[in-house]
Amino acid sequence: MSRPNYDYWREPSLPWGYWLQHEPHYREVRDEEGRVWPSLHDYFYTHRLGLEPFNPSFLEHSMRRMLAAFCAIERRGAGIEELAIEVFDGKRDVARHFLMQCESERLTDRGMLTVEGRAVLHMLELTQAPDMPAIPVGVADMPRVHPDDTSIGPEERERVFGAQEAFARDNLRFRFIREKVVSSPGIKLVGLALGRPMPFTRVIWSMEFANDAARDRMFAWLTLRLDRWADWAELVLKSSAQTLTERLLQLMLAPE
Amino acid sequence: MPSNRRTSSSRGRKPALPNRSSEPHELPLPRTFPIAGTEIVPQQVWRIPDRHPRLPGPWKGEPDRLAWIDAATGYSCLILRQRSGALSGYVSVPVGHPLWGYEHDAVPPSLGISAHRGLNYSQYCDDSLAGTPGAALRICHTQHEAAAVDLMRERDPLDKFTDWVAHAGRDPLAEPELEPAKMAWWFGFSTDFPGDLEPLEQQVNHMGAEAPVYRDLSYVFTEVVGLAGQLHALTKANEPLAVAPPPPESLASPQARKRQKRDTAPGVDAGAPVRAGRGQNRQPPGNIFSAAPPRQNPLLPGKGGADEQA
Repeated sequence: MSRPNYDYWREPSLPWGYWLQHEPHYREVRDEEGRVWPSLHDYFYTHRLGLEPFNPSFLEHSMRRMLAAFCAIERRGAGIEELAIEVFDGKRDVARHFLMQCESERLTDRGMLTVEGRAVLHMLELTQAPDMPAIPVGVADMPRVHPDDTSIGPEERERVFGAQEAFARDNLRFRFIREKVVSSPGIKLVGLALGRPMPFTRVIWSMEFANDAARDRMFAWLTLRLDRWADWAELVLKSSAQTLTERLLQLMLAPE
Repeated sequence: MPSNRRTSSSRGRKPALPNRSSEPHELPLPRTFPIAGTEIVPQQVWRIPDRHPRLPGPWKGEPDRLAWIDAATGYSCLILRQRSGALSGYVSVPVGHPLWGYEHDAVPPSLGISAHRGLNYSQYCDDSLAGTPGAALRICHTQHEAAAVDLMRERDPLDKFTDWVAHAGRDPLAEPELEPAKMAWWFGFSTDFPGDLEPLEQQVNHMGAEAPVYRDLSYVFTEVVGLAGQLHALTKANEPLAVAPPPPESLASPQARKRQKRDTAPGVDAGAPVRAGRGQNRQPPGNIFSAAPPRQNPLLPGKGGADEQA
């Protein structure tokens, strides 16, 4: 007997797990059948996916990877190659296994998030671990422009870019901006880097372009991956700007 | 007890006895400093005993910290010896420069900014050691607001105000002003790559079968000045030379100097740069921009100092 659709008995606009109750001391959650779970993530992983978490840190790591993967799927329909590069440390087999499991659990349907998958995405956005670079809440729902979409006029494109830039300015510590590099059109990755004597904004990565159109195509490509900006900034800070350039090249070669 | 403090009117005077302490100490500040076939007006000349190689070598006689203002660009420049004994070079760009705030590896390669094997330092003025004996190790201006040093004009001993302004902040232990508007952004490079000799390191950097090369003060100076020029070329309006370089004859007579001084006096040369006097690299003889006579280093033997000529 097939499982009924999620939206048949759940409110699809609310984050997954909204039916749970917090215990009075706010450390555990209680489901509709009265069972107590260590956390919402534990309930989802064990009860919904039928998996066994090894330990809390492994569980949080898995949830973070699932959030990154769901964001990528929702915003740009990311495939195995991109998920392998960005989420699963280059392991294509793991990425393929993850996507197959999502299909079998009906969290995705032919590569797109289902209603329940989107509810899970919202739940994961709201319950991120505070000690890691946060994927901003609502990033998956931001309007987007595909670089190759010629049906969108320049005004509409600018409006979407403006919304993306405002969102990044308000929610991200590091963000890409369109700004001249010396005298050429360019894109910079800027952010607040702590340092003496004042924590000024710094440019930690930049690229020049031959013209504004080429720059805007690149910026559209980047805004499709708005959810990855914080991680890319971490990559630059921990490694180098060259590492990010190589990562972007790998992603551009990954089939979408 | 040796003192790191210097009086404001020490430039060009007879050098004091060498300081033998193990702490960084400032050396007598000459009026000009000969380097790489030219001369500069140093703002700081320091000895850092812990970093100076004790074995004889090409580093003998080299200072461990040399700061000056590049005449062609007006940018503050610095050469500092590292723990390995190798020298590093630094150039600061002011707020508003196109690359101000850029991490060194974020500078697009297409701009062609390079020095030695590439930039590997980018930071604001480092004030972390200000007020301590370690101030000699920081990458920072000698003075946050660079005071003009006008070699074309003899200092008026009665002009106390000008003297005070020109030497404000000369005390290396003094706390620098931390005004963001005056904050400079430093780019730097080191000479401790494979193929470079690090005098104080046990392991030398070998590149293939070739012996490592010590990158001496002249080499690093040339790279620093080149870097300053590259950075300055990125600004939209390249300003004229801050100070006119010397005439073809490096040893001009006192009469010729007086004549040149009269010709270059304010009001005579309407096209004189506004920022004249900020810094003074001496260009080699034969420069087509030659307009002013050189001022010789009175501390250098056999170089035709002013006293000798007189």
